Amino acid sequence: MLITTESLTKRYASAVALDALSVEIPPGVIGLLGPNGAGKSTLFKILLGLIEPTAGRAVVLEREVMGHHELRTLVGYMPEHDCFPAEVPAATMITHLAQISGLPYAAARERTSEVMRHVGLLEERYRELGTYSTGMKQRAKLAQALVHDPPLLLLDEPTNGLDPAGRNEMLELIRRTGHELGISIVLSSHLLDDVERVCDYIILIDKGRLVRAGAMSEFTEESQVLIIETDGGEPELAAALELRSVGAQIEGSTLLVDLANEGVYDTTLATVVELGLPLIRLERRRRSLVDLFTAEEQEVG
Amino acid sequence: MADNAAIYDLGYSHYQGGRLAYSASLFTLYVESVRIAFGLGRRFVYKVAPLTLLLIAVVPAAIALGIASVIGDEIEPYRYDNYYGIVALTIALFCAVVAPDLVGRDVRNRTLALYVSRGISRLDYIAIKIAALISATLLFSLIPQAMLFLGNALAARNTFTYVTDNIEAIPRIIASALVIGLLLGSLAVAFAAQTTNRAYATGGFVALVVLSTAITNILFEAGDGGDWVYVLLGGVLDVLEGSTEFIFSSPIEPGTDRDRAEFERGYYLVSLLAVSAAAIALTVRRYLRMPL
Repeated sequence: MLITTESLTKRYASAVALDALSVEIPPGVIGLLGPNGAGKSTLFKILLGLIEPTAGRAVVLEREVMGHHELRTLVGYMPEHDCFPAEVPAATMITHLAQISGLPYAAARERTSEVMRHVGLLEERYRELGTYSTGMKQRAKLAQALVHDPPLLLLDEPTNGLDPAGRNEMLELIRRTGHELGISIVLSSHLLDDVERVCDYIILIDKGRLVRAGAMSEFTEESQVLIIETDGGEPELAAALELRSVGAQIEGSTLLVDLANEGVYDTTLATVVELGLPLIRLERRRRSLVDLFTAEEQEVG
Repeated sequence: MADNAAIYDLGYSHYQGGRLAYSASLFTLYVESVRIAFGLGRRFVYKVAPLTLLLIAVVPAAIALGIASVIGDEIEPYRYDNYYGIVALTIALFCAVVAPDLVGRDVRNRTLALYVSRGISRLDYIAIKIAALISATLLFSLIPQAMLFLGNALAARNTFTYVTDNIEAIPRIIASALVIGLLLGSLAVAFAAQTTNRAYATGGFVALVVLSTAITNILFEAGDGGDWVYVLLGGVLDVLEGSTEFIFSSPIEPGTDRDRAEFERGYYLVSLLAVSAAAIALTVRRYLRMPL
């Protein structure tokens, strides 16, 4: 396991940031998903050893605690917020941070060029960080997390503040970093779409509690739905399906039927015929994680 | 995307080399902090203020050197114990300008997160920042003093005798340079660590230096003797000069408030150390609580 947490709890004076969170995270590109205030940043800080949990424990890369040495060699961290001084050239700052991570100067410079090329900032590396756009700053933040070549990256909301094009680039960059360089990545996001696009494994948390964790494939299997449009008969159909223990939710003018097994097709069709509803559309679709998460949340709530 | 793929295909290689010890990281942080103080590795505009101030601190010594070489005698107007009166203000301005660069970035940009997540402890971090600023101020105090000493030695009738006669001045020069840097550096950092606003940090510190001196002098006059004389221990410039005079065991300048106060001069040094300790404690407290 890449990361294991057992009943990890963090209480602040006024709030509970993490509430007995137990999760096992395999290596790969991991999405830590949850709304703002779900406890994502707190979890990162505990994994980095920057704050002490109130109770429980966390094991990262088979280590109980992150000391100086572990942090310097094993983990790269990309904070959520802007963290660069404005007046320093990007390459200077990243070289300096590589040295802080223990790389000798010559190696630090070499690695700086390497990671800046990786994130696509090689041409802009001598510009002052204050002149960077938000997208460039995010990429520079990723570069500094990578510069000392750690086996694990913790990226806190890497797509924050980016426009759609910038988000695409960042997600592609994360995907390449994780899958092609073989670096394990935990990225947090409140945007399901981000996670859906790059992650192999997903952890849903909300209000400091684990909602669900599983491989991306599990989620996609479950997210199969049947879309049915019957010109106004949806509530009636939903109720009838409910009696036959087939789950369905109304969404706009359509009905989404959970495709738990192949039998659902027949049951649904039979029910439609029975009710004499005009069948306008019957389509198999993969439900997006957004729907899935909303459903989970309702259950939890 | 095709372009990116092509660039990537040039090859990303993992780092195979060695890693230095924790102490090397701390040394890197120290060197970088001193460089920040003088604007090195930054645009020219960041070098202007520190280098101008450094020049101002050195000019009187250079002039004195010139005069000494012309008249062929020891430099009279500037002595080791009173040169600080001249450079103290340039050091104060230097600290005022530079402290927000050194620690303000942590308050403003939350840069601290990048260091703490690399295993640098908060305490080590801020200790090194303060140490870096104090060592930067040493250039202001030690370069002119070295020039005075060399100038005097060369201008003296017998250079060797001058050096042996004045050798005991050297530890005093260094000690007073350290305590001046300690007081001004720790106060400036304490201000800069509390606010995101550069102007408040610089202004607050300069105001403290000037106003504390002015107010204590007014109180001193108004108090007219008795226990009131101890208010001088609260004025930054009086404390600096009193401490220097104590370190050099030189006579108090006649006619000054310090001369009239007539208390044990060691108190100035005690006050200096106490104020510095309080300023450092305030800064450390701020850093230990700073959100990441």
